Amino acid sequence: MKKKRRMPEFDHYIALASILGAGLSLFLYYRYSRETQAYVIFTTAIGYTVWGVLHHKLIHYLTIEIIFEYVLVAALGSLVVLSLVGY
Amino acid sequence: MSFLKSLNSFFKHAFLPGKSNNQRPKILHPAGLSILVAIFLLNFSLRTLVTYLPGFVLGFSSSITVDEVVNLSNQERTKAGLSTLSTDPLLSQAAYNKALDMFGQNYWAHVSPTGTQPWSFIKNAGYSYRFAGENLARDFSDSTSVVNAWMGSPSHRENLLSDKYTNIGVAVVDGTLQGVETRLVVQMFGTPTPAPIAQVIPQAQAQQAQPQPQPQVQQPAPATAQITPVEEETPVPETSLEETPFIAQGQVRQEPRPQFAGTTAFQRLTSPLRDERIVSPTEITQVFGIMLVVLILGTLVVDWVIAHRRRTVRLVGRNWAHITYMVVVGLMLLQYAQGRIL
Repeated sequence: MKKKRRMPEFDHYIALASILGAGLSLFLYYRYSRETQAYVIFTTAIGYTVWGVLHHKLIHYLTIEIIFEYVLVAALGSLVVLSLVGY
Repeated sequence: MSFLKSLNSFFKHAFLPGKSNNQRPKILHPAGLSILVAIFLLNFSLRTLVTYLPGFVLGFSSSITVDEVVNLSNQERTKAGLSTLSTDPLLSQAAYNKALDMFGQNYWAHVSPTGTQPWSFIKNAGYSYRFAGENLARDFSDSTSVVNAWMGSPSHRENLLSDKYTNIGVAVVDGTLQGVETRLVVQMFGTPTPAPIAQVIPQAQAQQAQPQPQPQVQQPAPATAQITPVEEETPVPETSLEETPFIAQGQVRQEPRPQFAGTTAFQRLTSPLRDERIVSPTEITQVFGIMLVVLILGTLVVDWVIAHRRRTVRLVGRNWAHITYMVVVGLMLLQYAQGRIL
């Protein structure tokens, strides 16, 4: 039986798309609720960091620098939006 | 010449992968990203600094008027097949007093820090209600955005489209709230009753509604007289103001209120003759944030392309994942709607 070829790490892409898609959708849905928006961006940032760590763990190259990189990118992105939502 | 050379080296080191930065732009290294986080945190200070610059005022310019808010609200009710609400001077007075109380006590909530409920303002204005509700808005630029925001929120929409209400009162008042000059919009709904039975349905807090006793404080004459400016074409009332806590004791005190004396604040926000420039804190943050996101996105894309062409093998995070995340952040920034409702 011929095995169907799949994109490598396809599931990872789907997971990332789901996290970020859900984050953006919820952010837009709760556009007039600042508190909810803050929770959404915070959760999205955490979800992104966890995704990054798990992704690199599963493909067997996870270093402390990579973890820092995901934490800082997520923190930077969430700070940018949180500073706006804070007003 | 050597300065330009140094500058060129610096930019290459910071934004392009090469030997000097271990084939990864320096700003994408943990140290570089940390610096960016620190710079962004500095943005908060820069934004505050604007308030101290001569000729700049941190605030929101706005063209909201009472009439527009009432008309647009009634238009929404008509669309929903409901009767229109008639403006009640006492409810407008209550809304106005609520706005003054928020400026005076520097809070943004339905219930004041001292525990004053929204319907206390209604009672104290002399409006005897059977049902009452309140919608709040701030930092909006126009009346349509305010009403659209309320319509977009289920609890506010419920208030606005409730068939229980027959009266509406709206106040649009300028002032400084939490360090930012803004225009507050207070919308109050009510149904009068001669009977002593009272039921309160505050916005988004219907479960907390409690029967209210017949209002003890009655001030028909002064309240009606003072409400007139609120309903005029210019939405900002005159400077003769009532202090809410005194109304609760059945007194009216008039005093100067320089920090949000209506006419002065209104002129500051809208008059082109004044040489002060209103700088929206939202716009500052938005522009700064978008610049930062574009910088990171650009660096990530350039790094990705160069590394791909050179077939460089590196132990770093996924550029495409960072790019996707930053695109989402950028979309959030671009789609951010100014204005808050409560």
